[in-house]
Amino acid sequence: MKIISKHLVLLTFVACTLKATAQGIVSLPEMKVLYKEYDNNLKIGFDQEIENYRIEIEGAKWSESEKWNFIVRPYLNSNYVRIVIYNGSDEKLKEHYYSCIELPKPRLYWGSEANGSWAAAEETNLFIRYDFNSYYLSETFRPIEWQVSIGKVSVKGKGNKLSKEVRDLIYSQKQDEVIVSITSKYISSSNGKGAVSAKFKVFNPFFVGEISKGRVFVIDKDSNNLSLFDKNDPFSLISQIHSSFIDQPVGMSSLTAECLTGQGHESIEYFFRYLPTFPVANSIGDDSTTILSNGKLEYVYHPDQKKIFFDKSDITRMVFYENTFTDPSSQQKVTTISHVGLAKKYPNNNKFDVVMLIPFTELSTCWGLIAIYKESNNSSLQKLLSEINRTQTKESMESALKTGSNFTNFNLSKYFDVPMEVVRDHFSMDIFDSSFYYVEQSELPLTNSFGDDSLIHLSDGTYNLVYPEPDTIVFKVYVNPQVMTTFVQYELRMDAMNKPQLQVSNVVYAIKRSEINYAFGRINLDNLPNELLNVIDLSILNSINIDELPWKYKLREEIEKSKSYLLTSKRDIKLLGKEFNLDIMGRPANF
Amino acid sequence: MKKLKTLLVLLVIQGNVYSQGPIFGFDKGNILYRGYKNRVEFGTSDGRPFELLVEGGELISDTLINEEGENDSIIQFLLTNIRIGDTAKVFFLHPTTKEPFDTVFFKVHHVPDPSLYLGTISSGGTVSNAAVRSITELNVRYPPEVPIQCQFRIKTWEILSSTSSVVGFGSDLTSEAQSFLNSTSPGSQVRIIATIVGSDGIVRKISMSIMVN
Repeated sequence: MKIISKHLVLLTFVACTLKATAQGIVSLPEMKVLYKEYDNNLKIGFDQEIENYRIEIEGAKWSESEKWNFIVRPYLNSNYVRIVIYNGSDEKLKEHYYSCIELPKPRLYWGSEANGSWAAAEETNLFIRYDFNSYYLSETFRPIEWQVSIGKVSVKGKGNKLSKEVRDLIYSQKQDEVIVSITSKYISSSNGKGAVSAKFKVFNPFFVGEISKGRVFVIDKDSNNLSLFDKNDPFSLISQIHSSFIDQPVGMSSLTAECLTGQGHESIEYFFRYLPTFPVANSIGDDSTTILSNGKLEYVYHPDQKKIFFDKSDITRMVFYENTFTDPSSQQKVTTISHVGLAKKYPNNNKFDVVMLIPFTELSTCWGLIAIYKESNNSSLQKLLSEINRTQTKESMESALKTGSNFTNFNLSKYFDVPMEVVRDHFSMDIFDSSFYYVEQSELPLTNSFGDDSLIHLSDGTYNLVYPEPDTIVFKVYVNPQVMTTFVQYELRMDAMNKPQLQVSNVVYAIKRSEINYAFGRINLDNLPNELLNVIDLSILNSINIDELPWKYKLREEIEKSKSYLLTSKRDIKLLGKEFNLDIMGRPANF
Repeated sequence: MKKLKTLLVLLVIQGNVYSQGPIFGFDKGNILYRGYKNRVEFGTSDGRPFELLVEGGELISDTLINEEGENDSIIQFLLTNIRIGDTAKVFFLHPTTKEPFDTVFFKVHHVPDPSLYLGTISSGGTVSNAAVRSITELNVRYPPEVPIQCQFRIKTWEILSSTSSVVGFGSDLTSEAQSFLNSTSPGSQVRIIATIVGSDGIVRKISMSIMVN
């Protein structure tokens, strides 16, 4: 198509009065670029007082949007735009040349991720925009239609939100790395239309490749295998799973709140899994973070959260999945357990459901969290607290308790169902009044981390605490020993022979309540001076060799006598299906 | 968290040092790049005198030889003590009352990533086995739509096919790389990854893909 070329020269006289509010003008001489077919906004500025001026512009359609402000729209076939400024006596003051270039093509972003990046299956937002670093254009783009393709399968939709179908399509892929192609049509803020495409890699969290070929062993709870099933024993297999993996179940695609409540089950555990990435722009293209005046970062874009439900109560069956692989160094075939599934039978369901799936290989070394053992009868532990309160000067007590005795976000619920309410920020004064003689708050930092005063004096004479990280405040506590109970906490450490040991690291103090205990503080034994350490009798809390934990021996014994099913045998899968709800790959799964 | 420090610099305008004649500024969306001497010119819409107060950086005077071979006084805005994503500010003050009458805001960015070229072939392009022999270097530069002049130097590169790879230093392609490209089977994709360092001091990893036929 022939483009009609018109280099119009427009002449305008502009009256300029000094009474109006003046604008400061900053020019970036290197940025002398105007985009074709785009409304470029320019502001004129002078280095000396001037009463009248006029400008000529060649190569563009232009208008004065308001005083001293111009909209300049270069023609499609213009290579440059020339602007000449004259004074009131029609003398040429200056001429400027601007190169004309076409608007760059925007990029497609899935959340914050661009072409070739790893994206999150749960992210639903599509954005089309310029790379923030490259351009100063205010052009925005609105996705109006999208198509997502994985292999030969495609899903289509309207707008900028991907549908749930996309996520489900990713989850159903029989691979953990899924290549996803997205094409989106858009309309720009200057009514231009176009389409952009990009490819992304997505991790499929529900694909567990190791459990598709080997055998499945089923072990039921009985009085002889408590070292596997007893959650009151902090060193049992199920306690270890709870302490290390309760927040990170894997491969659970279908355990939903609806399913669970539909079964009349009310005590569902769940957590929010935040998306690994979030867009750097919100839905209107602004930065998704702003820095507040106190230096803190505030998110103005709230990414979707994924709620994962699981149920850790009343586990009466464990399922062990066998995996055979070739060891890369020795080239020998190795058979091992790859995953353990925790299973239970719901009241109105005649089959078992696997309600959590845990990678077993990590269990052999992972004691990421801490076993807590109740030792309320160990009087030396109670004596330790009273010794600290009785004998120490304020300074030495602070150094001993600095990291230990403050109220931290300490969660005993892994073992003893203590709620999180003990977080200092919102503890119940009612509990404190009945249990403590006195609570004294001391040594507030004088300034917060931004250097501001940490206390603001209010007009009514009280103080308002503005210190943002109150975890380091030291509290002095005077406890009524009658209502106190103690626990010891173990951590995984290497002994002198470099063997993993569970060693006592902390003493945890809690207030006895009728149903639950409230932890109010803990003392880190590493920080205690020797004279205080001598007060404690640790002989009954000796280090425990994790290789010798009873469940490790019991498991071998139980697997040898357990029922086993081969996942490659149709007959065995049929038998499994009589006992378990199965997933599409014939593995025990959720209902 | 480290306390955010801002640098305030007060400058008094002298004559017409800050621009030479009328200027045009963009209405919004001004960007300054960190680690880069951003050229700036100042004026007021009605030409009234002003002083400047700068937050987030400093203004440096320099000279530039223009097309006529004369020395032009120029001003560069060098960002200091300011983070990416923050806003640098220029306050225009009345010279006697010191009251501000306007403020211009600048977003602070890294200079954009440049593009990698195999000779003159850009990413997504196609090259024949025969033509590969005449290509002796990799280039790194901005596409025409990026109007700034930041210099980049190639430190290392890696050329990968689906089965093997070859590595080297600097922008020159080794004879090993040329025979690697030459022996690539027609229709296959080759990926080139380069580590580059910019005059802003930042090391970047950039890549390109070409089809050999």
